[in-house]
Amino acid sequence: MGWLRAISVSELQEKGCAAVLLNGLNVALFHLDGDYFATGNVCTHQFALLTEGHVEDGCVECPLHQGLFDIRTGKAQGSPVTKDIPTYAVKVEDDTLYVDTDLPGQNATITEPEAPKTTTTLSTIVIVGAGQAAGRAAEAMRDAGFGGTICMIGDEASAPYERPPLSKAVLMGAANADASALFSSDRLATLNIDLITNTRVDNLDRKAKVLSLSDGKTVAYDALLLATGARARPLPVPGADLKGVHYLRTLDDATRLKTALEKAQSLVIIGAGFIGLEVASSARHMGKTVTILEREERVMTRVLPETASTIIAQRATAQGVNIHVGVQLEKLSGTGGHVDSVLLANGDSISADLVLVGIGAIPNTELAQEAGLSVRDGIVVDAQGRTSDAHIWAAGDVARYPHARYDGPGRLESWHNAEEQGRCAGRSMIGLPTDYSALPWFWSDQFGGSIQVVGIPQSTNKTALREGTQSEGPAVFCLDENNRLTAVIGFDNPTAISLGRKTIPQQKSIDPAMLTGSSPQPEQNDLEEQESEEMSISNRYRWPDAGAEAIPDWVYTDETIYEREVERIFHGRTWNYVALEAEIPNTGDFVRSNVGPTPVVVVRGENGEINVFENRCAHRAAEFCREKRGNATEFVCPYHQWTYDLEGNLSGVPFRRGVAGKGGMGKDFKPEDHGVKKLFVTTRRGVVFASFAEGMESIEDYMGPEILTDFDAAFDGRKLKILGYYRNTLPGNWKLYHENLKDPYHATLLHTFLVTFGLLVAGNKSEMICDATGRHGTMASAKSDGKKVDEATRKEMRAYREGMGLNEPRFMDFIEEFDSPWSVTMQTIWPNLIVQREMNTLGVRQIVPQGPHSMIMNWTMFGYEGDDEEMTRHRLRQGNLMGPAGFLGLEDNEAIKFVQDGMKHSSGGDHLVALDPDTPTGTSDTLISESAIRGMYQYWRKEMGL
Amino acid sequence: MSVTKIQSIPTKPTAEATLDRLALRLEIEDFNARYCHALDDGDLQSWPDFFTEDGFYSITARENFDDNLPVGLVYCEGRGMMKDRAFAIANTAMFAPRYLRHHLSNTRVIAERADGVIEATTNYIVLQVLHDDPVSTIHQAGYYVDEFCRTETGALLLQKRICVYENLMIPNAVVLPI
Ligand SMILES: Cc1cc2nc3c(=O)[nH]c(=O)nc-3n(C[C@H](O)[C@H](O)[C@H](O)COP(=O)(O)OP(=O)(O)OC[C@H]3O[C@@H](n4cnc5c(N)ncnc54)[C@H](O)[C@@H]3O)c2cc1C
Ligand code: FES
Ligand SMILES: [Fe+2]
Repeated sequence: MGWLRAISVSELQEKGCAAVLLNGLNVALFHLDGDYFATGNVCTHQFALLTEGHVEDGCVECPLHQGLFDIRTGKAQGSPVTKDIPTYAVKVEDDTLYVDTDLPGQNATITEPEAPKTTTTLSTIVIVGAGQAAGRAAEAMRDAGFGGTICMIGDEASAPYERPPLSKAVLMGAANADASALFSSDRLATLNIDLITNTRVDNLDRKAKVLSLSDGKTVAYDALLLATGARARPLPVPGADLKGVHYLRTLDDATRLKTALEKAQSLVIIGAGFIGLEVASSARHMGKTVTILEREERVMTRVLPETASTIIAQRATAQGVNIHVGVQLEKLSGTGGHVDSVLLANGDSISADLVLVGIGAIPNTELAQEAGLSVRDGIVVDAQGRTSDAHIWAAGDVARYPHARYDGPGRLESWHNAEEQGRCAGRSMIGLPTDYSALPWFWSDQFGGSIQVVGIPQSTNKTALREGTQSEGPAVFCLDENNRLTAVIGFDNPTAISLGRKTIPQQKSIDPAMLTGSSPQPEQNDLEEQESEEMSISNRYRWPDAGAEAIPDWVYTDETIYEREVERIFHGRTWNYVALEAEIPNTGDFVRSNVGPTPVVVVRGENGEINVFENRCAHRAAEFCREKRGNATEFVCPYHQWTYDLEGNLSGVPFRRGVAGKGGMGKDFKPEDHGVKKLFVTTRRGVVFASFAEGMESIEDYMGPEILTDFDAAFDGRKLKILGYYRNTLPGNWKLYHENLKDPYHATLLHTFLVTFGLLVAGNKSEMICDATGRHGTMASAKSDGKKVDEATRKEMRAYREGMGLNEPRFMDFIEEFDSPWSVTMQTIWPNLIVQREMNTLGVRQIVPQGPHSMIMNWTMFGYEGDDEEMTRHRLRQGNLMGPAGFLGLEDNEAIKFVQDGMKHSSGGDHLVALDPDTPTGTSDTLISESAIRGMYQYWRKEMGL
Repeated sequence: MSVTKIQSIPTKPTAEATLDRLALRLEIEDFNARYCHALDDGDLQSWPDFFTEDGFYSITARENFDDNLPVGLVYCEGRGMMKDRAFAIANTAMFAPRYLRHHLSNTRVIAERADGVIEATTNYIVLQVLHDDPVSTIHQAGYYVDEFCRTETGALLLQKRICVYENLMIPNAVVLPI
């Protein structure tokens, strides 16, 4: 993917932190003590953007539940977050900060869930080879607290380094050897490795657990890692030993090649693999004449399908590289011991100042083989990196491991594999659980572009080509016989690569036409829409294996799911809140309302009954009632004057019989068949509910006894007095509102106000009450009254107040008026009602969903008819707690928005609702619980048939 | 009490009366300019100082105001409650970072009452920029219904300000005073 421009350094310095979108990834940028860092911006607990949070002491605090992450390492700092956020590499050029989202940040450590520390009793671990896998293994051991000896023996002169720059920056003189070092000298020192360079390990005695070195010494081990990598395959033709014939594997090779190349005019490269092509690119950059000779019929036969080969060959040719395929070499010939030409079997001769051989690599397995370990084109290891000897591991280019996703075991020669497998082996050696299953990833920078491969193209795969666009290059998709994506090869096409990363692990069938479609950036959604036609919904939306503790993003973001919710829930067997009776006391009084997203009219009829019908004309669907509220004797659609009575019956159709005997409705037109759609209505204690479903249970049975008790405490028979309305949009999925009020965990964490003002303190009685189905809930707490509070709690309260200096404490007073042990009850009544009794400030909230990503909240605040002026004012003053500007209300709205934001552009995933496993679902008497959310989803899944 | 019902000042005033009226209007505009500066760029904690000790402040929807429904999104009786709000917003509240910018116009003095109280209205638009969203959006559009009085030194102070907004929906949340 390469370096992406993220922000100007001065802007970041000024802001301290900033959120940016890079390749569809939410990335957070930080400026700390003169250094810059990039991390994932999405919290790993639930979904929220970390930059909306708070930075302190090198950590960023999530705004939602105050999860803390170390900005430098991405490490989760403990409950509630256990999973690290990714870190990304950054670099500064001029005034610009660049981020590479495919490279970990310089301080990144392994992203294991808990990063448990080792308890191994091993004392000496020896690593053979001092390359990349070796380095990462040693680092992982130290990171996990291994304090024993780590001895690393390598036959090269340097400490571990990365090879990719050798064929690119190093060759072109753009980077020196230091730039590719795996560790800075400081880091190397803290890792405390006994590094032996320029020394080969010649023999491995497994019985004695001793190695013999080329300098005659021996080294004993308790556990051994073979990270011997691979070496360039020698050219098996006469003349290969002439001067001027080069290979490229090591830093020494690169230095030699660079010097030679500077003097040369023409370069012949034997083998059109990645190394050959990259060197060709660098040499063309330096202005040399470059010819590539390839034995096979196309370039990159070994690892890429033909479609991709064609694109690569085109790119190379366009840059002036001569490529000959299907070439049989005869020999290399030279004068004075130095190569000067390459002779082909067909008699052609190509002159060359210099020859580079890049015909693949041979794994360095000899040591293992001679010691009797299982070897088959690589040292055979299991998913933990262990060889056939329980004390010996292998990793990197040399290891043959079982791919989780592909048929049969194999070896990977890539930076990413060395990196990850090295770490895994390191951890496994010191007794930590690991399972190597990273999705393979490879990149190659050549001819001014970057080729990336995710997954492993299989030789039996068919391929689909997506043409490039103005902004992105082409991409090749590899599919197996079931049309499941196995690999993606992107040519400067990060969209395709990220699609591959997401889709390959899902192992779902995809229509290749969708992948290649002319749309420049086929979204995941398009894919899913297309799939839905082929598979039933329940096949398509599979709940994560983690079960009740996980909620997948599609629950909140998917259009199809939303439509199904409207059909099965809002239009299904539910009682939906529509109004308070106090709003429509007289015949003809009406309010506009909604059932789910569907507009309805709620009107008091002639007989005093309440009618609810759809606000949609039976003629041409016009939403005919336009006033928010009012009084009417009938409803007339403004378009063609069709008239409805207060029950929604069609009472008049202009020109029904036509004019002068012509036109009009047919004889069989019966107005009684053409009223507007009527809903079923019920009320309880002045609250009006409607349902599209016939034969609903009574509202009392619908709520269930657990919920009815507290509902009746708020609607205790006193007549309601409407105090006014708040209305707000909320860019979050409608269920998040329910979840917020089924999540008592957030109350003291998000709403520091509550704690600060002593409204919710340790020792308050509280309960999260659920009905038997799990759909409704009551979050209840009791404010300790000053006299009853125990000494310790009072101290806590006073301490907070002293700190705060509240000027007007009376607005937090609770005047007892309810027959209830609770001073606060927040009730979620499925699917669209919240009953708020926050001490003395009362209200109902109606949720009107607006698609998966947003909702409208309608708040109706009320008191009781007997309230005197002072009591009304008290309710109004206390109203500062709630509503879209309330001390608590605004925070909930913000948090819910953050959650939806977190899902919009992130790499996707599940929400974790695992608190309080002792209560799988339903009522819980601890605040630190998510059992009510789990219960709600158990019900939701049943209703949705998912 | 709807504004349209309030008597407008008589027409054909004397030149002197006109000057007085304009001077008062400018004085209110000047007051409001400082008020808005405190909210947009200044110190939120100084916001209560624009009110008398027992001053009243609320933000409410036109739908409530027209129907005499008393709720306020924010409802402060007295400077103490305003201070508590300013303090809580600055110290305990969690919300996404944002800029707000007030734009005021059409200040109109309605009456100078016998008790010295000046009734006035001013239209407002408040634009909001969230730091992760490239555009300014209209956060609130409405008008102030104000009552000013004078301190002993003659300076204006608000004894009542009702912010009546006409946008039907609050976009997510109102964090800062209007
Ligand atoms: C020129 C070049 C460019 C590359 N570019 C890319 C790229 O762009 N993208 C990408 O993903 N990958 C690239 N790679 C591949 C990547 O660098 C390798 O996959 C990675 O280095 C493998 O790491 P390793 O630790 O397994 O082996 P190595 O890094 O090869 O380390 C093994 C070390 O062990 C030493 N050794 C072997 N046997 C013994 C012994 N008996 N005693 C002592 N020491 C021994 C070797 O000399 C070597 O130093 C490139 C490789 C090369 C050579
Ligand atoms: S701590 Fe971040 S979402 Fe919970
Ligand atoms: Fe809350």
